[in-house]
Amino acid sequence: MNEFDYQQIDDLIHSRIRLAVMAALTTMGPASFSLIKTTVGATDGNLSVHLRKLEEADYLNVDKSFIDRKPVSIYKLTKKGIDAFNTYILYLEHMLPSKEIEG
Amino acid sequence: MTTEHDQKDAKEQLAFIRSIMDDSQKVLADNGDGFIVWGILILLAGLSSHIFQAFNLQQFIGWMYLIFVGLGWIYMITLHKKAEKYAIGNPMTKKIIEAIWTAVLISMTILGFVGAASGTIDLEHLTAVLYTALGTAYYLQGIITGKAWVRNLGFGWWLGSVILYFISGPAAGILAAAMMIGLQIVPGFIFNHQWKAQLSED
Repeated sequence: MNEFDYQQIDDLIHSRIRLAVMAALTTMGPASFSLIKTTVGATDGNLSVHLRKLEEADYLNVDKSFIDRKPVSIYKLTKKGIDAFNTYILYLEHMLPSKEIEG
Repeated sequence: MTTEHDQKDAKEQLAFIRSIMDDSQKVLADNGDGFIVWGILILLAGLSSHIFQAFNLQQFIGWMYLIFVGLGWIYMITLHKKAEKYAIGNPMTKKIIEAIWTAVLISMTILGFVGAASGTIDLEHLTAVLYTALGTAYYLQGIITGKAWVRNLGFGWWLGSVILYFISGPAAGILAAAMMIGLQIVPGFIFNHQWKAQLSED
């Protein structure tokens, strides 16, 4: 446990909103912008910035299409994103005494 | 080495992740087309059976139902399968809801055709039996997705089916049609509206 380096933590995911986006997409699977917004509780502008950062890091990809002639963006975690999220959770869990993780 | 502060931070982050994941677990939205299509088909079948009876064509009612229910199943296997790719929600939740509806629809098909053909279920009260089964699917979907109004639709179906066990004739036909519109087709449009809202970019 003591060998864990807190500095190695993935800063991209460590941000509150981006972490919420990653957690939500992990559970929900592919989701639209407005659904992520509702789940995460962020404003449009703020969420767009964070989604773009995750997209640039290749943690998620976006599929843009039209339904009833209205644009729809569906966001989905990539393999790299899923791995990064799982690694992040492992880092956090390693920081805690094992009895707290079980609880 | 991790400090006490780091541990507190990690604990908070894990609790935050867990709360987001718990909230996301129940999210589910599909375009509601299955509710609308089945509702309209059954409504048309009910209406047709009254017309058949008026023209003394009772012997063809079973075949007519077979055609409408067959159309429903063809729709489920073809167009509905395509629409599923736009359904929003946790994959496991989607799978459970899909399984519930498939199981209930198969049960209803067996009750409706085998139950009626074998004479085990009285034709006058077949609708009551089918609506009881339908209530189960709505109730379970409401509980699993955390939507009280969908769960209450289940109670609506059950209550209506209890009444249908005691009445027959035109009154039963009107009540059955009203339930199909109010508890199936209208909710289908509400599902569709909610699904579009969740996909909207605004």
